[in-house]
Amino acid sequence: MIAKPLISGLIVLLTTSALAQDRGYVADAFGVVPAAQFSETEREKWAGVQQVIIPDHSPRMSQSHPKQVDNVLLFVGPKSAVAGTDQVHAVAIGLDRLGNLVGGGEAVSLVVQGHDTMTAQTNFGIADQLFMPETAVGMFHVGASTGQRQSARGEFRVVPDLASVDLQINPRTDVLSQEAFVEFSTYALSDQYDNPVGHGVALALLTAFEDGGYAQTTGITVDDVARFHLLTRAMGLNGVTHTTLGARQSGPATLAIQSFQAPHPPEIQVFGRPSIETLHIRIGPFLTDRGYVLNDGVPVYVAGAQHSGAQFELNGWLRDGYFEALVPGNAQSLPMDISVATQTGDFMLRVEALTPPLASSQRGLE
Amino acid sequence: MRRKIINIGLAGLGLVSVLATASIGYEQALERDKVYDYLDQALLAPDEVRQIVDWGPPSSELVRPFTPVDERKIGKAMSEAWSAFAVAQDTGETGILADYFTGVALDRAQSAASVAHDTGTGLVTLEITGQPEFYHLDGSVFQARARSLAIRFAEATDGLNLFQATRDETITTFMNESSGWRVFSHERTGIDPVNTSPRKVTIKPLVGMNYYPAKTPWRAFWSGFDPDIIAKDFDAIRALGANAVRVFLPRETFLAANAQADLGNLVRLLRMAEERNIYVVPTLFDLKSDYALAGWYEDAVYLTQVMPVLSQSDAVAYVDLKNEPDLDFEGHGRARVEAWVRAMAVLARELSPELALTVGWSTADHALVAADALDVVTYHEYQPLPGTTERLEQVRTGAGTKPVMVTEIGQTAWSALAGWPGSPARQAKELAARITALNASDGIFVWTLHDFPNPDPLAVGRKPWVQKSQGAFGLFDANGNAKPAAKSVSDGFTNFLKGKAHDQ
Repeated sequence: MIAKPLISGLIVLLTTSALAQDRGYVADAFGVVPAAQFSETEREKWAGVQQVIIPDHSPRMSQSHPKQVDNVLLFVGPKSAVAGTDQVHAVAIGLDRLGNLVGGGEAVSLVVQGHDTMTAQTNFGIADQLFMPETAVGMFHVGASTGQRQSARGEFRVVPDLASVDLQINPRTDVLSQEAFVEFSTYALSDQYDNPVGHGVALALLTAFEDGGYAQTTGITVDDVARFHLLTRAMGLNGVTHTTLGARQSGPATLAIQSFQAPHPPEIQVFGRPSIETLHIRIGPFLTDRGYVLNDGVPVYVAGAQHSGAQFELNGWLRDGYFEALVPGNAQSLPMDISVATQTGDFMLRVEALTPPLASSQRGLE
Repeated sequence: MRRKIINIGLAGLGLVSVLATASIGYEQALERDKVYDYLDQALLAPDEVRQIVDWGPPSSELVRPFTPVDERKIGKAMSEAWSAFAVAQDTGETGILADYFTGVALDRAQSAASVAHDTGTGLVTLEITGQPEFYHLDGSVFQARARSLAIRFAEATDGLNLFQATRDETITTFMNESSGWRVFSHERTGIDPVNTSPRKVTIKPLVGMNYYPAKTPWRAFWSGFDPDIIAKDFDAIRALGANAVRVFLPRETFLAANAQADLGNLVRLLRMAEERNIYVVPTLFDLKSDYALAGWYEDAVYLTQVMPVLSQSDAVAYVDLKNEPDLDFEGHGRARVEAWVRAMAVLARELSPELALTVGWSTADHALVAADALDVVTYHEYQPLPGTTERLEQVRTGAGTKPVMVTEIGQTAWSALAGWPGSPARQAKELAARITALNASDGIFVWTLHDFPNPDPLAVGRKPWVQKSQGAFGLFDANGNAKPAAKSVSDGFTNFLKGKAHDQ
C-alpha cells in the first residue's frame, strides 16, 4: 500500500497495481470513475467540480462549466391566487443541452399577461420574480425567455376573494308547508373587487328553531347565486336562518312553518277480550292534511272514562299510523269517552259498543 | 491391547459421529422453532432510513418559510436518495432510483450507479449540513446548498485501489412531485480536505482483560447490565495486576430505540473504570456482519451516539473500531471491509479528534491493514506459540513508531478428551509463555476474565463442542474460583509492567 499525503491535505490511497494500470480516477458529484471510462464521455461534461487522481501526481481539480442555455423550465404558482391577497411566484430554471443548471447572472425575461415585462438574474440556475397579479378574476399566462430560448407557457388563475363577499339571503315571507321542499337563495354574490363568485362555491344555510332544534344544509352557487333546498320535516314552527361562507355570515332571515293538521279525527275501535277481561283499543289511522300517515314513534296521549266510572290514562306512540293499547274492561264498560292528544291535534271520541272482531289479517295486538 | 485400542478408537469415532448428527438435528430444530408474539415481528419490515441532514438557516430570506416540517420531509428525501444511490451502486439495480431522483439527476444517478457497480467504485455521503437557498412560493421547487462528508473508493481484487474522504460543497435542486420530493439536479461546487492523518500517540503499557460478566456475555451484556457485578469484576481485574479492560459495544444495541439507556450504562462503566485507574479500550460495531453501502449511514449514526460519550472519559485509552474485520474479508471482499474501516476512522476522527483509533485484526498477518489511517496497531494472537515473537517483530517493524498491542490472547481450559483441546494446567502454561513471547509489545489483553456457562451462539456458533470450548477461556471458572491461569497471567502482567518500567 502507498499512502501519499497530498498538498491539499487529502489522503489518497493507491495500491501498486494502480501504478501500472490506466490513468487513475476521476471524482465528481456522483462518485468516482476509472479515468479511462471518464474521458470523452458525456459524464465529463456534467457541470461541477471534478478531481483527477493520477498515480504519482497531486490530484488535479477542474471545473466543468455549463454551456449556453438550451431549455427554460417555468414554474408558476400558486395556481389559484386570491384577488388582491395572494402574490404569484414565477420561477424559471435554465438548463444547458446536457441538463446542467446554467450559471449565475444569466438575465431572464418574465412576461406576465397584464404586466410589464420583468427581468431576473439566475442564481444557481434559477431566476424568479414575485408579483401581485391584477384584482380581476381570470386565467393569466406567463412566459420566460433567455438568450434564444423561451419556456412553455405557464398559467395561473385569479379567483374571487371569498373572504370579502357580502352575503345576503333572499327573504321568504310565506308560511312554509310541512313535509315540503322549500328553496332559499342568496342575492348574486361578488367580492370587494366586484368579481362575481361564479359557479361551485359552497355555502352553508344554518337555521335555529324556537324549540331549540337546528337544521343545516349546503348550497352551491350557479351563476353567482347560491340555492338551498330544505325539507320541512320534523322541524319547529318558527326559526331564524343565516348563510355562512368561511368566517362570514349573512344577516338573519325568518321562516315560519305551518304546523301539522289532521284532515279529520281518527277512527276508534274497541275490541273485547272476554277471556282476559280486557279491552283492545285501536285508534287511527293518524293522517296529515297532505294525506301522509304520521311516522312511527309519534307520541300519543290517551285518556278514557268508562261507563263504570273507571278512568285510565295511556302514553304511547304510533306504529304504522295506529295507536293500540289494552285496558281492563268488558262490554259493560261501554259506552266510553276518550280524549286523544297528538301532533296533529286533540280529539274527543266516543265509543258506544264493541267493534266486531277483525279478520285474522287485520289483527294488531293479537 | 491393539484390539482394545482399535475398539476404543472406533467407539470414539462413533461417538463423535453421533454427536455430529445430533448437533445438526439440534441446530435445524432451533432454526424451525422460533416463536413470535406478533405478525409484524415475523415479517421482515423495511428499515426506515435515518436522516443524515442537519439544517442551518437559509443563506438569505426565502419567499416561502422553511418550516420544521419541511426540514423533516426534505431531509428525509435527501437521506433516502443517497441511501438508494448506495444500494444501487452495490446491487446494480438502478430502477429504484426513480423513486428518489427525477429529471437530469435521475439519468446521472442511474448512469453513475451502474458504472460504480461495474467498476467496483463507490460514493457514500455520511453527513450533510444543509442550507436552504431557494423555495418556491407554492412549495414545488426547493434548492439547498450542502456540505457533506463524502467517501469515495475504488475496489480491486487484492484490496483498495483508491480511498478518498472530502468535504463536498454541493447545490441540489428538488422537485415536489405527486409522490414527494425528488432530487432534480445535483452539482458539486467545491471541495475541502478532510484530515485523515493519524496522530502520534503515547500510550502507557497496558495489560488487561477482555471483559464480559460470567452470566451476561456478548449480546446479554448491555441488556443485563449490572453495575454491582461489573464493579466486583473490575476489582478482580485490578487484583490480577491488570490496568486495562477491553469491552464491546454491539452495533444494534447502540442503534436501538432505547439506546439512551445503554449509553447511560456506558457512562457508568467508564466511571467505574476511572475510579479504579483502569484504562478502557471500547470495541465498536460488535457483531456487525454486513458492509453494504446503505448500512454505512446507520454506522455513522452509531458513531455520533457513541463517540461523544467516549470523549468525555479519561479512562478511554484508545478506541477499537471493529473486532476482527479481517474475518469478513472472504465474505465481503477485503477492499470493501478496508474502505469501511477507513471511512469509520475518518468519521470517528471528525467526531472525537482527541481519541486514538485502532482496529483489532484477528491475526498478525493483517495487523498493518489500514495502519496508515490508525494511531495504534493491534491484533490478536491465537496462532501456535512458536513464532509469536517473530510475528510481533514483523508487525512492529511495519508499524514504525506506532504503539503495537496484542488485544487478544487466550487458551481454553476445556478438555473434551484426555486434555484435548485444553486443560486448566495447559491454559496456565500457554498463557504464561504467550505473555513472555509478547514482551516486546506495548500491551497485552487476555481473553477472557470469566468462563461463560452460556456463550452467545451468534458470536461462537451453536455446535456443542464449540460452545464448551469457547465457554472455558476464563481465568475464573463458572463458580468464580480462580483457575491456575489466573496466577500465571497475574505474574506475567507484573513482569511485563516491571520490564516496561525498567525500559522507561
